[in-house]
Amino acid sequence: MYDAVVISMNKSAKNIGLAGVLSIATLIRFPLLNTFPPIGIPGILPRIITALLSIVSIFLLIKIINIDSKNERLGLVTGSVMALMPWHIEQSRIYSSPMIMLVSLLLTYLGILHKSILVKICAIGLCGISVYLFFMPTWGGSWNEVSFDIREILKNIFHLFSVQFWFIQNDSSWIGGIRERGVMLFSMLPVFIFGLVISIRTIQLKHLYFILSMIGVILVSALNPFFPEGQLMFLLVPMAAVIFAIGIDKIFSFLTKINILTKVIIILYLLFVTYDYLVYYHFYTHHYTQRIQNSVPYEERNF
Amino acid sequence: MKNAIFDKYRVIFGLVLLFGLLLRIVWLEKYPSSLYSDELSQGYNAYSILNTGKDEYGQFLPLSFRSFGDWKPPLQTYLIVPFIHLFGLNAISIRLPGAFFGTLSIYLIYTITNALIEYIYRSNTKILLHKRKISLLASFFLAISPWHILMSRSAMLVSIAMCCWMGGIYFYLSNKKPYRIYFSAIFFALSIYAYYGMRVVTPLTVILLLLWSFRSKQKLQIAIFAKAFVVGIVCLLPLVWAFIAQPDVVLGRAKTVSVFYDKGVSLKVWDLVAQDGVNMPIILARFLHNKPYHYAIDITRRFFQHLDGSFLILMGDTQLPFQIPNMGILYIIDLIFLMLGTIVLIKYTPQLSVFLGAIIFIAIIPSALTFVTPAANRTLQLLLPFSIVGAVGLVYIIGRLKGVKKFVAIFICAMGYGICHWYFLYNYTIILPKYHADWWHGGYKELVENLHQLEDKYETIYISGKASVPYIFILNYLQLDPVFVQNNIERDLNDDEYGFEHVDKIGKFEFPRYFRWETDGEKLQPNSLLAVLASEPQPSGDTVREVNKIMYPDGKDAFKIYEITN
Repeated sequence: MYDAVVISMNKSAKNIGLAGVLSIATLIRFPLLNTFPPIGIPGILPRIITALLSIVSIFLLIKIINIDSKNERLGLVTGSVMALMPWHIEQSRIYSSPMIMLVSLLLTYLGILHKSILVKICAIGLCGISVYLFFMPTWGGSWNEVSFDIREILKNIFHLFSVQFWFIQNDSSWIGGIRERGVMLFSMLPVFIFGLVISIRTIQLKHLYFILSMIGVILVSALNPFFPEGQLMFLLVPMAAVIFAIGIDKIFSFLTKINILTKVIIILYLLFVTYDYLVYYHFYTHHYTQRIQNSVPYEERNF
Repeated sequence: MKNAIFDKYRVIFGLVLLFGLLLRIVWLEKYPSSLYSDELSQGYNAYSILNTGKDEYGQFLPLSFRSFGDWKPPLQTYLIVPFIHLFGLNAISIRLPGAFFGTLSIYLIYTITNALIEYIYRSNTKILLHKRKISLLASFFLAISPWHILMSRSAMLVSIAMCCWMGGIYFYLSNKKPYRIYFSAIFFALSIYAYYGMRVVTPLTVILLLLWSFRSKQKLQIAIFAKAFVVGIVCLLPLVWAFIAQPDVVLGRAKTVSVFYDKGVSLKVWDLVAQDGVNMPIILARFLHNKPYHYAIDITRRFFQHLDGSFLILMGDTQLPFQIPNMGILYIIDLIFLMLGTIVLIKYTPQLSVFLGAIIFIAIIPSALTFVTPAANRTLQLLLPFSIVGAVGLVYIIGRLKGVKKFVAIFICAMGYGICHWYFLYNYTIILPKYHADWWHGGYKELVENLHQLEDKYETIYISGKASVPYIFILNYLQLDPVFVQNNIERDLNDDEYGFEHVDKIGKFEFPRYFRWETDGEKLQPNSLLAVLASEPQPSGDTVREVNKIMYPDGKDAFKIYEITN
């Protein structure tokens, strides 16, 4: 009975955790949706749909990580990271085709993890349909404009792997994000490096589908004739979230074993991360608004 | 037998060393096609030291050469002196020390890799089995590295600095005999005399090595280490003394290339605070937009630029003499083995990966603190970890294959490196000298020879101050008497925005600073010559007549020489 109580309490705690992550994500994404950022399309319904889909994407990612790693704490941390990821927030608050593609991609992963082959096939089919519906109408249908210059392609690929793009300047979109910030906060760089090292040490063959799909996204993004402006790279966000989460999860697992000095350093580091978030929100709510208000009319549907 | 003279590893290593030597020594005067101003400065100062014991400023055996106001570290210049005595003042004498030390680096990387693997994995026989293969491949990668060849074949300080630094590491790691630690101290001290950046890299490297010894619980013979430390300090005492007398000896040009000297961050912060306007209390605006935060971002950005594929593989350095046309500073095939080696090291040999990671961090720090990034010359030390990581990657992949697959893989890798190396040599020996001669101050030698032939017919010869530092080409190519130069040169010691000083006149030659024909033309003496870059606005009017021009090898104009009439 005691075990049953403990299991039940654990399950409740995890459900509370899940609810907490989704609530925070909702609080960040929904308020003032019709005014901030300044709206570029008629009606607020498309934005509401995108915001809802962004919450769904967080939920899906948590489920995927729970199933794959059997580590529900890691799932929650991954979901939290994505919920707080600057680029994900920015894309959640506008009508965003990439967000729809992201949900499709995550549903595909979920389907691939299912035991049934039929479900796996349907999942891959879903991915193909969403590519046809949302990617092909953009530059994806204009392959004659693509330059296959190997130097250009390599340059674009290196850009997508650069610290500059991920942590300092996300130049992938004009209206969809803040160019003065990266995909992720600058202060999260040490955690990312740590998470990357741990990921390399623990990666397994079963993750190959995930890695191959990310490589595919990178290659196709690099072919975009309008690079670096192209939001297909947004589909790399789950990969980044997972790497961060692995790093954070590992740090959590050490917390009880480290000495007082290390704990002080971690606290100071967390204060710096908090400060970095404050600066980000200031940029997002103030400087970003100033920049796009002065620009020519834009379309939210830019891919 | 393992220690046999004709052990296959030793034979192959000997061939690698020979190949590396040939790549660095042969046709040293032709490739690069001309001497850069910094090389000439060292050459002339060495010539001056040889003949008078003083530099061009009349300083007796200086510990830092003032040069163009950038205060060059002294080691390379003093190493050039005996070669000038043997071969005269020419490109070979100036470049030979760098070439020799560059070749020595190939030997050192082999020994360091051996020593490093033994040091870290004393009892892990599996890794030790591959030690010699990894060492051999690391030395091969360094031998054919375009980055290292470019730096070894020029007198740009960094080749010698890297060799001394590696010498310090080698003697520290192979300290089975205690006296070797003294050599380590001496080599580390020499590296500080060799290049500015080592004043940051070397102390950090020493700290890393000491921490590593402490962490791996190796028995530190405190007394010997203390003595070695004292030896190092004694070697550096002259520099300390010189710093007290003249702070620029240590700081040199560092302060004018420092990221804190550049106004970019300050202006950005000011702009952001201004955008916040009156709607926000100033104290809050300053809290959100402040220099420490933005400098941290800027330095981090500059740091990681050095690990960017675009810099390493595609485009290389932004500064012209350190560029190789149409390629970066590593081969594209290196990328594969670097990535593979990184994964292997992290997965299977975490201690080695941590050590090499720390070396990478240390190697980039000096450059990340400047505003001219990414910089290939300031981060040449990266080749030590990169070569080892690449070697690990290649050994790993070949080691996992057997039979025909192994042979095919080796063949493909060899072909890949062969093609890459051929492409580098093609760009370095044909494209660079013919189409980019201006990158290495081409045309100056011909200009000086031309002006020298016409010298007797004219009162004054002007060379536009926009033409780099024209005086040093006159000093070198005419081999002016150092005593005459020390006593008669006229200088303007006010630095420009980049921290460079100027020479106004030597003998008949004058070098108008910031020359513009529209404003300075009328100040020129009649019956004189004026040499200007073909790329700057050309003189015009009744008082000028073009008499000659100097062309680059590709046929484009380099300089034009005008006669100033009454």
